[in-house]
Amino acid sequence: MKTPAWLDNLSIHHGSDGVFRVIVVILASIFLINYSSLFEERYSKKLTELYIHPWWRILVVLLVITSALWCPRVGIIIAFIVFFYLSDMNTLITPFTDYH
Amino acid sequence: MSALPVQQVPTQQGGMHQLVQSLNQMVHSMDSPGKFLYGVVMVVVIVYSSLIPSDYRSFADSMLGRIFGIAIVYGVVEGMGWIYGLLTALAFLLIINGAPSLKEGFEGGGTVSQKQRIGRSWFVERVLGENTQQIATDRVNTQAVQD
Repeated sequence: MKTPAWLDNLSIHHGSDGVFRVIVVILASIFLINYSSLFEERYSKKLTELYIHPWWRILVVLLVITSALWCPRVGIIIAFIVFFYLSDMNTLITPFTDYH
Repeated sequence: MSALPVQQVPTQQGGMHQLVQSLNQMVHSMDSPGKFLYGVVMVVVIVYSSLIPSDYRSFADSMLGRIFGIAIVYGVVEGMGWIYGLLTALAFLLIINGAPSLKEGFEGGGTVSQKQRIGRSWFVERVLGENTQQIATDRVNTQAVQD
């Protein structure tokens, strides 16, 4: 069966791997729009508490690397999510007196 | 005289052998030590980006710093591959994002008169750890309470 042209352009092929990539892209996009586009949207308590641990941040960066190795589209979206997460958490833990 | 048939002895493919083989493949497929080291440095920069001094952040946020940053990201993508470029871009954006940019009240275009701070610091300044350099005004206009 021939792959449709628009799927070829996205390099998404048939099979369970291709379907799983599409599902992860959709879920990550929903997370990105919901949490990362609004600063007021609060992250879960677990994510907030885990941020202060360096090993958690290393795992988060490793998630970006493994996602990028698996699929470039997933990697880019995950990188966006991780950037906004680290950025928001860094803003939240910075005291106001440091802004001088 | 007839020759004896040569019997093929099957090679042993144990779990240890496969493990060594897969490790060997992994080592061969890994990037060069330089690239690997660069990747580790980028991971460390991203993880500890909040500890980078504000002087470096201010430079990265300047015009020159941004041009340098974009050039570095472009160079890394071209030279090392896009995954290293992605890590570099992530680190660069996190450094820029934390650059101090909030100036208290003196960015309005010169209509506010800046006065040097005189005397001891206020109690609230000491409690909040503020180091006031200048104040916008030393006068307070009040009005009588009206019904």
